[in-house]
Amino acid sequence: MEIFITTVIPTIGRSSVKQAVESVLAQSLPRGEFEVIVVNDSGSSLLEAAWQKSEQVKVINTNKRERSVARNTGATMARGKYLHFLDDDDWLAPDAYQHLWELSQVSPAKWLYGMTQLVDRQHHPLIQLRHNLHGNCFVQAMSGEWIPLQASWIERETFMRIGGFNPLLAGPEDIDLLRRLLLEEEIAETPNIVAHVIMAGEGSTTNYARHPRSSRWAREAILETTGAYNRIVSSAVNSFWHGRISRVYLTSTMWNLQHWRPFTAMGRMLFFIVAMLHGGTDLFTKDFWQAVVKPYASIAFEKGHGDAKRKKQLEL
Amino acid sequence: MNSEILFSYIIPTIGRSSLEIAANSVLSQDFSQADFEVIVVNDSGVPLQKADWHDSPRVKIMNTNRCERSLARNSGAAVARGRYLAFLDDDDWILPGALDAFWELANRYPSAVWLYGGIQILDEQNHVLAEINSNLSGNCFAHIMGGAWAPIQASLIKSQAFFEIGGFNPFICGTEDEDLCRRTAYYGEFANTPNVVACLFRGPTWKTSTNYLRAPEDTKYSRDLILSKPGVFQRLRASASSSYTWGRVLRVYVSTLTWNLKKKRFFTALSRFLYSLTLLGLSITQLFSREYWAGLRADHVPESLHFVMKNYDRKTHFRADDLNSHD
Repeated sequence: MEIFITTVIPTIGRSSVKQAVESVLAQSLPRGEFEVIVVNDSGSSLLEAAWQKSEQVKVINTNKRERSVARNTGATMARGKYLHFLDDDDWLAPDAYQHLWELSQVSPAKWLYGMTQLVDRQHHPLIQLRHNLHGNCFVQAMSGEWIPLQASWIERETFMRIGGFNPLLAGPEDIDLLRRLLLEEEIAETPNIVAHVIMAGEGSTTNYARHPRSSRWAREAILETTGAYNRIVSSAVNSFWHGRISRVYLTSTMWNLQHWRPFTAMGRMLFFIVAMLHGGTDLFTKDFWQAVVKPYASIAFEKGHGDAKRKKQLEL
Repeated sequence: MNSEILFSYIIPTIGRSSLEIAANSVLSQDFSQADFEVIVVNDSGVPLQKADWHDSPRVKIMNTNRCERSLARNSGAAVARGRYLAFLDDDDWILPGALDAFWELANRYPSAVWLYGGIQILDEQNHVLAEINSNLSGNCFAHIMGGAWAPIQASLIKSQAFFEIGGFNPFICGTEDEDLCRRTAYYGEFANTPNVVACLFRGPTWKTSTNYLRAPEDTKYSRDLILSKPGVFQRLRASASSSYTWGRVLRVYVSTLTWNLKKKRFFTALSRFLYSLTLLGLSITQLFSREYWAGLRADHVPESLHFVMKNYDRKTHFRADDLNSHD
């Protein structure tokens, strides 16, 4: 029996999981339309708690497999048309489901998302993320733009078709998933805050230093996909993003050379040249060359920081 | 609760009644040296019918929502506590003494990441159609890439290795076990027992939900992915022990060369071409050996299930379309 939405929450046994689960159970959709799957990856039993008694909650114990595998496991058990991945120290805004549900009624996009409120460890608000990304945003994602999973609904059928999270990635597995989805599908945003996410959560088990290598391999695998170039070109709307395409292929060329993959490097080089030619008159703009030369900085983050600063100044 | 145990048998099921035989073949093992468990991944989308064996303390049942074998098995593996993982289908079974044989093997070769034994293929009258054991051990990457078969039903894989290579590839359906075997052979060493440890049922009434028509394409995709990994060529060279295997390796490169050309991936094709030339150069002394050319020829994969089944086909016309050669 299919329901509307399944929230999967992997946990390493932190007590904050209670808050995460309760923020979902308090959502205003009809009860029969959503469920929570808590994937306890801590390696020991969870302490008994009231939320475990809810009929909408299922707990599955995995054996210290890290986040990607834990999430994939939760996803295979899910019944929802959409999947939502929350972490055990984050929580949903009270009407998050309502906003995303409304979006789902008007948008055929396979990845729906809302705004994120980033908070510090004491839950003080830091900045708000408003991405303003709609439709095919492949070049943005390939350049490094990232949408928090906590604020996203992903269609389950699509998630399964693209193979779920890459189990070899811990840290950048969310951006990898977004990129692979954008190879074929589109995204849509609702301009409402749906999730509160802790930045640099205490006791985070993610070892971001461990997998930079596999992260680059994952990016290379995406560039290797048939049709990736056409997709990236059709997602570039102005000269800045045309410049970014060139940068993506240029950095990939260099990485492949460094890793003794001369033939792949040749292929990327060729696409780099094609991308430059494709730029046409954009080649004479400042934006294009800035995009080629400058490393990526998230536009959503920059804007969020700018807004927060302005607000502070106003308060003073 | 999560103290480590030795073996986890993971059985994905689509609800076939033969599941009971599969599960009981593990539960009834007379094996007391270490602890083991059976994880049934019910991917049928409906609850399993209650049966006595569900009550065994060794049995865990989890329900997944029709996501096919690879993902169902990966989920079972995520839950498993065993140091070694075994994957059985709901129409296969292991033989008495299998766990003892594996226990001995695991102790003798503690560094091996893939342990396996022989397998029997039976029809519904329990006639043995074939008995296969590749008898390969150590680094057998070249053999496995060339089509040698270490059947998953007769194998154990070290849990740590399974997760370090990323588990089953969800994009491959039907031959995901062979893909896993290839990637494990790239990663580590194999160990073999001469004992027959498992049985496969393949007869005219055998039914499957798997689309084996995809198998040839999936195999090429799987091999191509592996050939793109670092250090593959060196590992292939190190493991190619006979003229026959050298021939097989050359065949693998040539067939991925043509596959890449068809996919219009010209630079990858060029790379495969140069490696083929290098191989030819390195094996120049073997060009006069009959074995070498036998290895190069299609279909000449005596250890593989597909070869066995094809010979069987010729007699009975059984599923002839589905079991085409993998080359």
